[in-house]
Amino acid sequence: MRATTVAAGVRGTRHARQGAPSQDHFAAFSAPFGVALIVADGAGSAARGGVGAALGVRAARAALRQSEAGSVDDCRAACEVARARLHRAAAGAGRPPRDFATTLIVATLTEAGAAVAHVGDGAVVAKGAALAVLSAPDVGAFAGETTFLTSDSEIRTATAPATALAVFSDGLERLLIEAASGAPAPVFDRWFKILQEGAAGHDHALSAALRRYLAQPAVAERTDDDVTLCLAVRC
Amino acid sequence: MIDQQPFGDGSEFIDNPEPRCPVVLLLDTSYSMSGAKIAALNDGLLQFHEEVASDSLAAKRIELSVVTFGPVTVLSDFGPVTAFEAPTLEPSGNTPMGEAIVRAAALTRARKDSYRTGGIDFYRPWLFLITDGAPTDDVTAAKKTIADGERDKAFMFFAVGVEGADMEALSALSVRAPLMLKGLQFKELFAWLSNSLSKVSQSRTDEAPALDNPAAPSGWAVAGE
Repeated sequence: MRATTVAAGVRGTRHARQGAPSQDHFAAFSAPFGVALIVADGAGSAARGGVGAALGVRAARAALRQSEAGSVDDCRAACEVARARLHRAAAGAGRPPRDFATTLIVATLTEAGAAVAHVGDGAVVAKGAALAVLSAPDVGAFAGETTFLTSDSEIRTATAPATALAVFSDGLERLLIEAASGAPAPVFDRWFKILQEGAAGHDHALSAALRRYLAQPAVAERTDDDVTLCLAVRC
Repeated sequence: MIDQQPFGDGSEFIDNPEPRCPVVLLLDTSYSMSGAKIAALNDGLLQFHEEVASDSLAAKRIELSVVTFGPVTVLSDFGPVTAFEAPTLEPSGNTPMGEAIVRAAALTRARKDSYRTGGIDFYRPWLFLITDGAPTDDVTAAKKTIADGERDKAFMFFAVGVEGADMEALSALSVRAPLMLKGLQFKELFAWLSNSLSKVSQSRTDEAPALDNPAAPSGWAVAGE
């Protein structure tokens, strides 16, 4: 399957001000089954949330690289592997697992369509016949509350016949999903068209452009959080 | 060749309403607060307002209400920090703390309902009480309101005693241990409050964010009863 991926992450102004690293981590890569997009956002309240996010992405990527079908079961299994990895890291450090708390989104795009396994916030938008939110953020009663991979929360899964996919961290939720209707911003259509003109595999030039886009003041005026956006299109 | 910025200029973003963080300041304005105490409280309030307003994201998210007692008066209902004018408090009357707490909880409930109607996300509300006395009214209902609110995570209730406060009465009332203000360190208290609210209003966590311990040696409080 021929596909293009574009991905970028930018540290939020809050972490920049504190001299702290970004707590978002991501991966976008081609595999025999198609492409995969992974995004994790370490909990700000957790002592090692950023480490948890990095470990989670790495473990999920390694697991998914072994996958033949890139199916929703494989996405879920990759989340389970990442969860086990965080528990091992916590045990090794003599710390409680919640110190490594992170969200995790593992999504694939194959000939069969889009599949996602998801714990916490951040969201997945897919385009089949139309744009739709394939996996919505898991939010609590109050703003900012969510679930984490380390707290044995349910791994939510979804599939859809789709030819384009976007995965992003919670820093972009309010910019790209309309709160009242839950509908994705129309701009995804335009972004997916840009990718169709992109290079096969991971397009580094477009990823650099996306990075500049996420670093512009228009983003920082709306959120001080880390922002990560991964896009994939079947050509 | 790729455009300088093919992805856009920001005009494609959705302008959702900011999530709100409602805060009620419950302030004792009984006669016993007269003199240096009320002057320091007024100074602290002014500074608090300036600090919150200068943090642009916190200013968009924190909504302040001020309820004084006694008598119980809603000096300002919830509104954006930018529109808030720090009042100059004047002491009068006794200390109907129980009634004030019940009123503050009701204001908070109504505010949350209006957020829900408007599709606005919100953080867990804070009720922040400052007193130098003991309640002069029946606090049975207030005590239950606080216990229920904390249990249901409907709000967080903090009590701060100023010199002369009945810390035992505050302990009996509050689920969280009350704090005793060191001297008249209202400025330090309000600096902590604005800093904590900035953290809360920008947090993303399933637990309370790590706040500085006000009862640390460098803090503005000593742990109460």
